[in-house]
Amino acid sequence: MLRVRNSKKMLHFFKHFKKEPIEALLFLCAFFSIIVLFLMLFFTAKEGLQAFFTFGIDLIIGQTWKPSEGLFGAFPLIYGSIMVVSGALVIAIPWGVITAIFIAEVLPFSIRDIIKSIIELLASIPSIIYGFIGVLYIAPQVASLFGISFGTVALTASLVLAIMSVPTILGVSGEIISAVPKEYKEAALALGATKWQTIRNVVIPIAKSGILASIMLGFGRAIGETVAVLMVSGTVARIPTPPWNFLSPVYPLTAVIAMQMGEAAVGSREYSALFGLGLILFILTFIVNTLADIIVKREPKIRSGKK
Amino acid sequence: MNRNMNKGISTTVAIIGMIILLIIGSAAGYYAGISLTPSQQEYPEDSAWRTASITLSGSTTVLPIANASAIAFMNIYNTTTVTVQGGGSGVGYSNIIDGVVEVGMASREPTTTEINNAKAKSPAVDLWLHPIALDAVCVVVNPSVANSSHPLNLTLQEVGKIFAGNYTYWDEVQAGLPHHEIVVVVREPGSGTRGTFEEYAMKPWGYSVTTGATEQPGNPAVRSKVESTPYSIGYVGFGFLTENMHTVSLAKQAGEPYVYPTVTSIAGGKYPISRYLYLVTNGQPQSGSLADRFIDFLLSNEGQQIVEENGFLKLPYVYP
Repeated sequence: MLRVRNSKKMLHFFKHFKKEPIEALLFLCAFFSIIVLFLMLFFTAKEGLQAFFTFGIDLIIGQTWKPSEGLFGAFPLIYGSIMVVSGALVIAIPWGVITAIFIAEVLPFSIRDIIKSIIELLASIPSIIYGFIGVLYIAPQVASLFGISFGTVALTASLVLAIMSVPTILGVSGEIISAVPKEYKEAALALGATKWQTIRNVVIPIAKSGILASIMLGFGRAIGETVAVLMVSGTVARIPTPPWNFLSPVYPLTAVIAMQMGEAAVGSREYSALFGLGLILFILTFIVNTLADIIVKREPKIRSGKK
Repeated sequence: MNRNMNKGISTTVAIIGMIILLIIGSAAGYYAGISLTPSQQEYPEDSAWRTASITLSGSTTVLPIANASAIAFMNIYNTTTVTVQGGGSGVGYSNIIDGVVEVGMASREPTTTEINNAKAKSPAVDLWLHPIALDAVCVVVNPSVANSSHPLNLTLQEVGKIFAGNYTYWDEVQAGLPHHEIVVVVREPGSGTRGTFEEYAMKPWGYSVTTGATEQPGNPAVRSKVESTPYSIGYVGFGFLTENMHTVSLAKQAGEPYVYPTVTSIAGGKYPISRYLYLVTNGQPQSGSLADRFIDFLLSNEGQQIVEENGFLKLPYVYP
């Protein structure tokens, strides 16, 4: 019974496509991207899980990453990724969010769009360019400012990643802030609140979850970045001493994979360990992006008071 | 209404702009293509290899030799196509094993895993190594450590200790060197240069590279890192030495003479870390195939000339 009904439905489905070939094309495109996502997840998991079977929990908590010695402890690498990204967020969150508020609330309407699109151009610069700028200009500055012998350290990587994730944070939180209903702001102003009081007590609380989501998207952008990070992070697989020393080189996950995958023989232990790192990274970004998605989706309910 | 019109116009402008860019781009590509292959057909002989194409991939050490000889080769036989890609020796072997390229480039012998992978293929891949040049791995330091008036001499074991992280400051290595932290620069695991270096300077004493070492992808990257980082030490192929770094003279062990890498000292077997550079094929290349012709070209006087021009050494048995 169910089968018949389903097949009738399917038939209807395809008949519909026959009438509307362009819709079939759209369907195929959408379907294809889903297939690609699942295939990527499947292959990363297939190779990556192998690493977890081989090395066990050591892959995550092991302290030494020395592929040539057969030591695959990725903790310094995971630590490097998280350190660099948190440094970047510490810089990028105030920068991005304050700029978003400034653009949406303070800037005159006439130049708002221009300024916004100029800043969003930052997002369209290829990451290798950020890498160049980081290596050639930011790293020497960091080195001479802090008196260290080379500037490709965690701080430099954080600075570069901060610049790269500002457009993401700015774009998303800007949208949310400008979507705060005008009536609320007008009500606050009519009650005698100053512009700053309105922003602090009305706009920010309403846009709060959207801003949080934008920060998570910024995190996702920063942790997945590879080329620029490879160029400026210093590529040393060791936890800095002391651990919060931003003036030591680190070796984030993405950089390790990019650097070592080319030389790893297919099927070797190193190869599967690198896929294991990929899986860790995949899971990290997947969780963060899903959280951001959930938070953004929750947002319209808050604004549903608007008629 | 007005807004919509504006949008329409800007979209049109954007599309036209892209078309113009495309045209300019393809035109530039056309001219670039022409200038690379001037017409100069010397042997009008009709055979399949003349219109064939091959791809090489692998070691970044061999890359400059392969690039230069591919250009020279295509200048003579202008209907052939020889494409050269980098990647590292590991990529060279895995591409040959997977049958992705016709010729691999490697600066080390295959590892056991690679040999097993080759055997596991069906039909089994038979790795053939064709030595095309001789190279030395040279230890280099930033001029802040040593220079030509104050040269640095080390034994292999001392070098090994430095790379293993047994010393923190330069003046622990030798009195008179600066009291500054040593910055160790290495290649990524699997690199042929790294393999050769560790074979001679680390493995004999069971040393392993310190986790404090910074990894760089490729010889040029190590070179620019050592050039730009005070108190750094690294290693590069002989063809990558520059005036902006100080090259260390090495001795096999204490008591033996320190040897500076030169063409004579390497070819004469005096310099302690030398190796062959290889082209790799699956089985002996079919006689008369393009791969065969290309390898022959590299072994010819002209090819060996190119090897030398790129800063490497001719094969000893070709060497006068």
